[in-house]
Amino acid sequence: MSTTRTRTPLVRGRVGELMPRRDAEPKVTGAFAYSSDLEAEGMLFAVTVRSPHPHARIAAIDTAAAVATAGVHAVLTHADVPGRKTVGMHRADQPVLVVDVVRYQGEPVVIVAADDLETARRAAVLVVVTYEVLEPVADPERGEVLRDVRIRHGDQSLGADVVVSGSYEVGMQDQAFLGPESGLAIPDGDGGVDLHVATQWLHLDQEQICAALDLPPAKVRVHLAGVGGAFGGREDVSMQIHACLLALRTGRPVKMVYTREESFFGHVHRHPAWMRYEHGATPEGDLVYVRAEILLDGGAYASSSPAVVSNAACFAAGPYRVQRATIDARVVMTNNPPCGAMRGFGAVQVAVAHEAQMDLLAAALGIDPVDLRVRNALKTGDRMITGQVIDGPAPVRELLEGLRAMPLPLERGSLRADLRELPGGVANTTHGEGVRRGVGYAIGFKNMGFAEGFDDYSTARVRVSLVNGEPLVEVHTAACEVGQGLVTVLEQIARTELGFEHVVVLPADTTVGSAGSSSASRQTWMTGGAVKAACEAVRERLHELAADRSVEETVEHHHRPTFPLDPETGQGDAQVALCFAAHRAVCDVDTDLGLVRVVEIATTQDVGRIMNPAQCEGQIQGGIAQGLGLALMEEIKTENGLVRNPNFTDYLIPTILDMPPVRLAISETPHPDAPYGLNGVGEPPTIASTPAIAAALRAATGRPVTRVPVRPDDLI
Amino acid sequence: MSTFCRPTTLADALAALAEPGSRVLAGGTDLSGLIDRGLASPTTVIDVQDAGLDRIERCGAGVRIGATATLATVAVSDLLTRWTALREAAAAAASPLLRNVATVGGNLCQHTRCWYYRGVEWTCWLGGGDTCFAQIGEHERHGLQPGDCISAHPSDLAPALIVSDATVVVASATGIREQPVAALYRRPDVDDRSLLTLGPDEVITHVVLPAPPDASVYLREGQREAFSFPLVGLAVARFGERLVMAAAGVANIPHLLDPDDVLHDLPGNPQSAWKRTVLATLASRGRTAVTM
Repeated sequence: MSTTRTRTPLVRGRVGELMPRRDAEPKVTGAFAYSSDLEAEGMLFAVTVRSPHPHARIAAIDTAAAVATAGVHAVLTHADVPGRKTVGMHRADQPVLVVDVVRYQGEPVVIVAADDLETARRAAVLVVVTYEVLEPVADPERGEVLRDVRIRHGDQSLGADVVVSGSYEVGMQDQAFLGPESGLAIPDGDGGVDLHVATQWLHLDQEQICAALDLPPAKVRVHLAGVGGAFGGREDVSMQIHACLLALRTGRPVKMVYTREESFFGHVHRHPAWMRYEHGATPEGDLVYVRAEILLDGGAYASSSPAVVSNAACFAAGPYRVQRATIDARVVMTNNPPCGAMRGFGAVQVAVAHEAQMDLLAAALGIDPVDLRVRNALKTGDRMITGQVIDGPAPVRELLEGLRAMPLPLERGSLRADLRELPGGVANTTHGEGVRRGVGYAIGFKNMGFAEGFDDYSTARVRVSLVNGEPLVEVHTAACEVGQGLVTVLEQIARTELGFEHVVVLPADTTVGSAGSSSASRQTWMTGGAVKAACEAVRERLHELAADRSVEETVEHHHRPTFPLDPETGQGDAQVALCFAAHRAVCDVDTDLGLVRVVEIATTQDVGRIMNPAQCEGQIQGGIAQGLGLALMEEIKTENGLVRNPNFTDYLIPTILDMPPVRLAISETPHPDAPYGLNGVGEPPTIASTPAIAAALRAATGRPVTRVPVRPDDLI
Repeated sequence: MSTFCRPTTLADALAALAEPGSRVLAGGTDLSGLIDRGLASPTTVIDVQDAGLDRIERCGAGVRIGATATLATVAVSDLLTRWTALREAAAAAASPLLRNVATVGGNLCQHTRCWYYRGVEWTCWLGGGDTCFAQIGEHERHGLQPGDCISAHPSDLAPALIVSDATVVVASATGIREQPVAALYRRPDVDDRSLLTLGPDEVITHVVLPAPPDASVYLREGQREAFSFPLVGLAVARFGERLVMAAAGVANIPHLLDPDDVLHDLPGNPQSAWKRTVLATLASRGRTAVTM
């Protein structure tokens, strides 16, 4: 096949096509280099000394014995941080290394670099930190309020004839990415450093490293290394600054890889939530009001808590029309593990509550739960509880109707069942005795992109040159491939816009402008939009292309402006766009043993435009697995500030045997503001899948199921 | 700092084990975690994987299983087809990767998963301290017996071997003894917190199964479909009219049950009492399975 210099529809691998991802084969064969696989000549290994206490004052740090250990090259404390001593996404409140007061268990106090890992670990044990242990604030009711978001929408005096109320809890979920925090910092010999790291936002890392190291951006180049999952947990810095500090101090490359246990202390988690809800409706089933009090435990530092609590408030009522909303959401600071961004970002917790409430209300009204949701479904032109008029697609009704029309899985036959299809699986717990089936529906929504006035953008540089007479397209961005398949989609976009076969997506680094974070379901919209725009600019100049002359354009893509919420009423056009997904869970429950078999998850999701069918489905399947994990098993357990299960033996995530088949119907309602009409895909699957499972469990057992994850003893 | 040796004969292993502070390593799936958590700090680690203890062979009407035979081999061994509960228990434990290295002896000797015992933040009663933190903390996955330690024993194999009337062969530099599997365990007391009757210089070399039961089954409630420890694991065997039942996850050592009153002696602790329903249900279903 020959390539051509003119655009042709015959080039394969364009937007919308099932193009295999480039990293698939190396990842499944083990050839892919994750950030923990990097090596450099003469590199040192670094480890972190962490506080065993969730709250303590440091009286003294004695590093003498560690420094004196043969093979140790540096032992650093807060005193060795040359620039700003603190970091943080929204506010720089977290010490790079503890200065005086420890605020959560596992907080980094000292870092050590040595010739090999074993020497570094042994030296770390020799560091003597004298703590004055303080009583931790572990009860979020006693926490200091970091931000509260009030929403007062509609006539606050409105009451209703039919009222239902309930209290709900969501446990602290972990991102549980398989690639622990890791990276390699290489000093350039001229006072600068190159950091190769698994992260979500290269420029935010760079900014914080520069502040701590007191270096200009040109001296700190951050390169994306292979990312083994992120899900929000890599937005805050972990080892980035530490590795750079040690590399600059020693003049040697420094590698830092957290252990699995450290990883549980090395990143923020999903906020645990306590929620009290009251819904009021007319006897016909029209929602009149939603009242909610929402408490999130933000843990020791701010991280992205201010934005998470805003999301929890804005989406607290679910994708429904409601005349009056009275929402009080607050996030507090305690000495529990810091919480921040995780897939779904505040919308996950409230969906557990608002969907349970809709089912309660349906029961009180004697209306089918799906009918009730359809009756109150938000649609284009309606106002959210923030007063924002939805001008983009809001296919809530269509998703619900589509979901309801999907066939249900077959009932278990009278023949002896395959054990693998029963609760408990091959462990012989049942051959059908005690098993009851339940079906539950739920729908959720959240925002694409950042909110409340943040001027979000991404940057793309696209260059076309002739190589042996054939056009080569090079796409350069700082956007992080975190497993979602972005690199493949960017390649498809460039091929679509320019019509050339040979497209290379260059490694992401900070030598091109910021791409923003690979989070908030925004990266394909934002960086895809930037690449599309850069390609369009290049296309206009293709006539300049010659053997000795390439064409290059760098373009920033901004989305439309958003605005802050009014602090008194929570009203404001805070969101860029909305994404929706509905889920139906069919669960078999052994009601004598409390064991659950999720038989099937069916889902309808509107993605605006399918950019790559396999990747789109993969995102949805993965998001549902994470939602299933929250429903049934995933929870970080803390006790007086101490984490009890920082390992994959006690923190359980679903295996493939726990994951049911997913029945998928993806719809494409083009979003008028987005490139190709696309919309965010990654987060919506994680929002309503959890409450759908909870609803199915209620249907099967008659138990209230007001807390996730649901334990066997909740179902007996 | 530990030294490491990998003897190629049992005699060499036993000689090494006679040195105070040495510990046996087989698959390493439990010991390495205990060392990481500071719960074990052996002066010498004796890797017995090359000591010739991995064979499964016929032994009269029964079978003799070497202590370093892996769970994966036990689960599929042709010689063990008539010991259904044992094969099912071996197949139910852990994950395929772990079953490929985890051994029969190691599974029997593993320490409890109680997170207070495992956590470096707590020095619990079982670990030599004064307090069973589970009793004042969260213990919904713990045992059903009150006492100084309410942890739950995690071995899937132990109940399956106990109901099969299996014995363990235990060796030291000074001799060999054989005892029922149940006698491998003891309830810890103030003076000795160990759950095992093994001396520090002793190692399990074999497990011996007598003639097989007429029927047996292992039923197991786990927190997920695979790769989890048992919340309750129940082995049931029938020899003619005689039923034998034993359970994991209900007491701090494997627990022999009275088939006519399985909840006897297992009143439950406040948060773990739900397991009584589980145990009673599994017992009823297990009885049906072996008498059908």
